[in-house]
Amino acid sequence: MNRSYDRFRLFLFLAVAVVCVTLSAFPTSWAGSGVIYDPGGLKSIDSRTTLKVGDEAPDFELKDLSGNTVTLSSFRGKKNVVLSFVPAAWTPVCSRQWPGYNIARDYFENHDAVVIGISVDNVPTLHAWVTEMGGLWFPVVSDFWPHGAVAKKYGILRSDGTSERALFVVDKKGTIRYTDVHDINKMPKLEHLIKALEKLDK
Amino acid sequence: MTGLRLACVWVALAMVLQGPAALAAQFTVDEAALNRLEFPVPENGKERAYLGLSGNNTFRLPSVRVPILFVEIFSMYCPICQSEAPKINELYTRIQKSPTLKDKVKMVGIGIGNTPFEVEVFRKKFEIPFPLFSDEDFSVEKISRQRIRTPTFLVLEVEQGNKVRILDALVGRIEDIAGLVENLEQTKGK
Repeated sequence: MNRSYDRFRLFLFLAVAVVCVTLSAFPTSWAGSGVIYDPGGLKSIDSRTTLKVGDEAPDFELKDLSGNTVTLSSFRGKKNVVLSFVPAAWTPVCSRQWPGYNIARDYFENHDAVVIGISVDNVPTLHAWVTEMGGLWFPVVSDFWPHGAVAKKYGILRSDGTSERALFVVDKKGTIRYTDVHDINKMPKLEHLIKALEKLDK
Repeated sequence: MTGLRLACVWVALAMVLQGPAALAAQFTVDEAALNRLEFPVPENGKERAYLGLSGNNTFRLPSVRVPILFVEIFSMYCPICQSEAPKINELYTRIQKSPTLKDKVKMVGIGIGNTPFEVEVFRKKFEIPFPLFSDEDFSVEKISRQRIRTPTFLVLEVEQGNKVRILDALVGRIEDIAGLVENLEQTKGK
């Protein structure tokens, strides 16, 4: 009886052990934990913006993750603005793009620029996502409702309701000085953006 | 009861190994492809001396004059690589301070998909003391059929001028730097 009880305890212990090992096989990091949804390869660009360099940047008012209103025109005469539209939270390229800008803060600030991250996701989703990133130094605003209205104004709302992966550099006069409606599947090169900011200094 | 004790050891071992090692078991590397990877010889004289390289062209990993090469595959855009950077710097410091490891293990980083500019942003931000290389064309992806996650760490045995052989691969966070240093101390290089 004792022997079979010992065997039962050993079996139970091993069962628990297997569960422990299986759990420990999942990395503690989000990149490998399966929380990122990979939509696979998408149509590179699915909209057509009419905005071009020299145009006035369409103004907008959107709520950030703290509930504050961010108004593009409030930066006029004060800061250059990088508008970084990303297609969707919790997707592969987007989940890295802003963390990249996060460590490049000095590069933006050296050119008197702020970044505004814009996504069509709602505030709770963006809150969870940005928290998982470890926080960001720049505001992230939600273009959820009316759905994608700002993305539409900028001509970059895709047919599935997400936005393009797009960058607009707006100078202190509110004029668009750089546009990059990028292949949604790829990361825009940081130096292209920084070079665009360098040109503002001249 | 012996079985129970053995089970305890097994669980303890699994806990120590944690995620990275378990994942590494699923991560296979094509050594031939690894040996074909080519990088520019660093312009920085200090880095050239650290790796024992000369000339101004390119080099392959077996050219590095060291028995063991520790490679970090990272991306400046990867939040985990960013948060782990201080720990990896600590690993470098420990290696440099260890009389047994200083000349035995060298470290390099490969910025997968990163341009030289992006690698520089990462280097400056985290004051990375070891050489970093750009892999703008994702050539590192050729070393495995599986998708390369970042960070991935490779421990390579260098057969000077001939080839490198993979000793270990870790994917994700390194939970125990002291344990890794201990392992490196026990690892015999050629």
